[in-house]
Amino acid sequence: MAENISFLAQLLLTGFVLGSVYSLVALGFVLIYKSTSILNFAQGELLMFGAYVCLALVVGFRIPFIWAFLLTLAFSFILAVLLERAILRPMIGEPIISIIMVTIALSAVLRSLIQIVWGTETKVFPRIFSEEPIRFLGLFIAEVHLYSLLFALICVVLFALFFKFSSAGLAMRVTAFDQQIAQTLGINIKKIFALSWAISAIVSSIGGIILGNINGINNALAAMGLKVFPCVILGGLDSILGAIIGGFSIGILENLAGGYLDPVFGGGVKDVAPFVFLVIILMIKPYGLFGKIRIERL
Amino acid sequence: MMDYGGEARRRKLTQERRNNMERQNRWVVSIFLMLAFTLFLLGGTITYAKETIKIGGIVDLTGPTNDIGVPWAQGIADYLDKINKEGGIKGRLIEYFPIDYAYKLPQAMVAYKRLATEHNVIALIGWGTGDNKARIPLVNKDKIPQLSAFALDQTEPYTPYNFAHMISYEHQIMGMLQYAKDRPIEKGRKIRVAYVYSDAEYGRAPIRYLKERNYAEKMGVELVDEQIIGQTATEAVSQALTLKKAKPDYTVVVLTPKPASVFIKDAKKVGLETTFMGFSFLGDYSLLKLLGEAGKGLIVAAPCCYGHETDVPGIKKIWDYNKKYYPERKVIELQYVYAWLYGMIIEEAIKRAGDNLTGESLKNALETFRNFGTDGISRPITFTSTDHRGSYEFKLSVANPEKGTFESFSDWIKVEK
Amino acid sequence: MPCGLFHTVYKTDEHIFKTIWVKSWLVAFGFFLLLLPFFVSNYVLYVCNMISIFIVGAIGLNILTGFTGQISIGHGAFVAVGAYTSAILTTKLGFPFWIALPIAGFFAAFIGMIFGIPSLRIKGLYLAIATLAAQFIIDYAIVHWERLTNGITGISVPSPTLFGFVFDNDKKFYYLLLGFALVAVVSGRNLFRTRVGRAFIAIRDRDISAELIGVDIFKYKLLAFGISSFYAGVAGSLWGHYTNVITPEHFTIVLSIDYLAMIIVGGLGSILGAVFGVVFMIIVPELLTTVGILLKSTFGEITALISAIKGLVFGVTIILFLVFEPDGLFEIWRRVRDYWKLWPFSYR
Repeated sequence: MAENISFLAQLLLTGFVLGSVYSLVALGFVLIYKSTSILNFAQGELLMFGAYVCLALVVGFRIPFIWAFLLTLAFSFILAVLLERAILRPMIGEPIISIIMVTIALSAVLRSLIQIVWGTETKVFPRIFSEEPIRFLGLFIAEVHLYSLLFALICVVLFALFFKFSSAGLAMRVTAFDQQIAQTLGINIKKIFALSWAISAIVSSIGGIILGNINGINNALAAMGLKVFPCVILGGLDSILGAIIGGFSIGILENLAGGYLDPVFGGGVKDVAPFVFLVIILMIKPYGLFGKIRIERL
Repeated sequence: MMDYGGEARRRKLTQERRNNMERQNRWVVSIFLMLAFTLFLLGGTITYAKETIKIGGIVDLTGPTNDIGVPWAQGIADYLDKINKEGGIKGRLIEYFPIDYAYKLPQAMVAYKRLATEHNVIALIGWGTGDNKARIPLVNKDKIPQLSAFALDQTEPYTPYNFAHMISYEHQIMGMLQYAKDRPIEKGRKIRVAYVYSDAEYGRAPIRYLKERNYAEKMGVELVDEQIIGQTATEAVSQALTLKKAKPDYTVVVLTPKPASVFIKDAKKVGLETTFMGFSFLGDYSLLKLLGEAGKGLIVAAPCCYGHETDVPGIKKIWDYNKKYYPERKVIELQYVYAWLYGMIIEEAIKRAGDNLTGESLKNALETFRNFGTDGISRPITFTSTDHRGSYEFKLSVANPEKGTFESFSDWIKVEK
Repeated sequence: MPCGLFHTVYKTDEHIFKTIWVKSWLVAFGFFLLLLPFFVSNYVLYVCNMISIFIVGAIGLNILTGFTGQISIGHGAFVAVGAYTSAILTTKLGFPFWIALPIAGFFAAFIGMIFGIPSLRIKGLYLAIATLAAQFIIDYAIVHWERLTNGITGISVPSPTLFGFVFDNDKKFYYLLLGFALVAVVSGRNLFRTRVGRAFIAIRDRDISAELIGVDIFKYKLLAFGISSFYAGVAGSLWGHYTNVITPEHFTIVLSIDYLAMIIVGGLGSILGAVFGVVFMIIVPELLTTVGILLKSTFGEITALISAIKGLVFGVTIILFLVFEPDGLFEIWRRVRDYWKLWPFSYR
């Protein structure tokens, strides 16, 4: 009995850790959607970009991790602003399908570029946190997992506070609510678009660096970009709080499904369970837990 | 989204300017397109001065197994290059066509079509288990011997045009279970064994084979659990946790290095204690780098010698070639050695096939191999007209994370057919 | 050459091929296609056959996404359903190909309609995401329902036979597939001269207004999913019987994205555009491989790069098209054609 409880608890704990990374990425995704109504299929690639650049700085240029981290954030910022200007700006007014396709194409371009520059072997960060598990109330948690969780939580809280209380955050929320009103208030919408892409890229990069630290970096990380969909649908496509909660929930759900359903179905359930869940949510509550219900006008 | 007035007007003006340019560019573009189309139709008909021997390779350079696919591809390409640098075989040079299929079956099919019909290759080097199997009826029909990186499993022990010099994955696992059986962890109970394998064909097929024959039971060990890890998994914690519940003494791992490193590291993170026994493709130095300390105690079944075992004459020859042409290369991976072996086999087979060199004559030549020596890199290779598996022997080695290599600790172990 | 079109009867306006000029070009092109197999290698035929198969599938997707405006990122899954249905019917139940094919189409249509049911409640982006989920779920089902689908190993599919005549090489398949592609193009084009087709377009343009004028949008949306999946199923079945083997790897999300790319590059909402898109998206990667082989002076570096370059070219092409020519290849074709149609009196 005790073994079963500890098994469950362990699954929940690991789910929570992974969920923290998912919520970071989901946060970035929702940010872009909220401001620009774009579904960003390239979110996973932004994540990879952050991980690879940080790795290149740490290993290739031998810059201490803290500075490499900050530099990576700067690079992500620049990349996002460039992308927004060059590719997304001209797409204003195009039908949704074209915009979706642009982000898909963008993801292919980014992935290929990363492949050309860095190849496809798995690379590891130099060991900062050990992988030895720490025993805590009879549960195992690796040091690297623990620190990742803390770090992700701090970032999530920081960004949430940023949106709620800073003037830039306020401007972004107004823009998301109604662009015309934002303009009449004197907010430069183009800057807001660029800013939301930039912050989204930064947040994804952080997620990528965390993930990269846990199990190494290779181009499989891009799959995160697809995993983010169940998280944001659960939370609501235009809710930041929903993204955070959705991220944690999906992380936990995935692990529970993996732990309990894998033996029943012979493996692979872990990967498909979030999507089954997504379909269920779409049927019951299409706008998610916290999303705003769209009213369509002629 | 809104359209700003200024933006729309600016766009309209550039539209007009673009239309003017287009009329001039149109001719250029259409001529270019026609040229490209013609090139495409004629592609592959470029011929060399003297008739070359054409060999094709369908390799994984950018897909999920490329961590071992790249050294493999290099090994065969280097050997064929070495042949050319030494003047070819009876004066004929080898033309090698590698196509990267990124482990995607549809690409493999197109690549095969191309190699067989455009380039008319007489031999094919294959990589992935799934696509090799799918190609078997095709190579049989087109009479092109296929030298694959996997050995046919017991359910298909022989097909006319498929050859493998390496011991099959099933046999490796059988050998490893045999080894485990003789080393109980705790007295008084059966040894507990678990299978962890990939959801791709190379993982499922051998495990399916062993389970169908209840092999674990026959060996006298207890199969307590099995887990599947995806090729592109970035974490495997829930699988590791479930495995931990079952408390296996030995865990057989049939995964390529990328998912294997994820799994083994996650196993360590959740405190799973077991001895990992990996199949041949885990004998990879870069895997040890990824695993770090977690790689301690990893046992690998190696069908041939490692690149660092330079006291073996065949391995020394590899280093001789590399020192000359690729001096910056510091490691020779196990996969490189495997593929190099294939180069040796092909060279010998071409020599034996004589002047009339076709796919069929090559196949017949291969079937004359009896205890063909490979300078000590592996056990002697035998292909008969009823058995195209070159060898049934392998060596066990254990990982040494500090040195970053594997140390062989057993003799050649022969597994019964 | 006429400077414009002058119709006196509605019927002539409805014609697909409006002038003698166009018709004669079409006949010439037809001859070219029929005689092609005698001049080129099997590999080129293989590429042409792939083009024919993808044309069938792409037209299906275009009907759903281009004409009815329902974004579907799960098209590959419906192709898979058709392919596996046909394969299972022919291998396990011994059905002949000619019966298995339509059944595969209808079953795929059925599954498509099931996944179209959510379109009643959700639309636009949410629907796109739902189809994405459908893709993954069907993928999982195919891999894990081993009893039915053989899982990862895949199924060996026999070649179709007709009264003892076996379609087992590229040339024979060429004509068969050409026929299917032709039927797909003609039926697709004709669909939009009918009431059903016009309903689809109405739904795309303004579905709430369409409902107001009496178009039953739920019924027509489901029908769009059904018809599009029927095409997909047929394409899947043809693919399986042509390459003689299908595995779950054929039908991943990459396939769905490829189809989407084809119709977008070709031109959404245009049958001819779908054809252009398919040809473009299939030939360019093959051209790149040829270039890779020609430049194979340094092994490994080029060959590995070529794969990444293919991805790069794919992405960049689509971005360029979407930014500079959102209406795709069809629009370029239309401009070129109009220019020549009115030459030397054309002006800009």
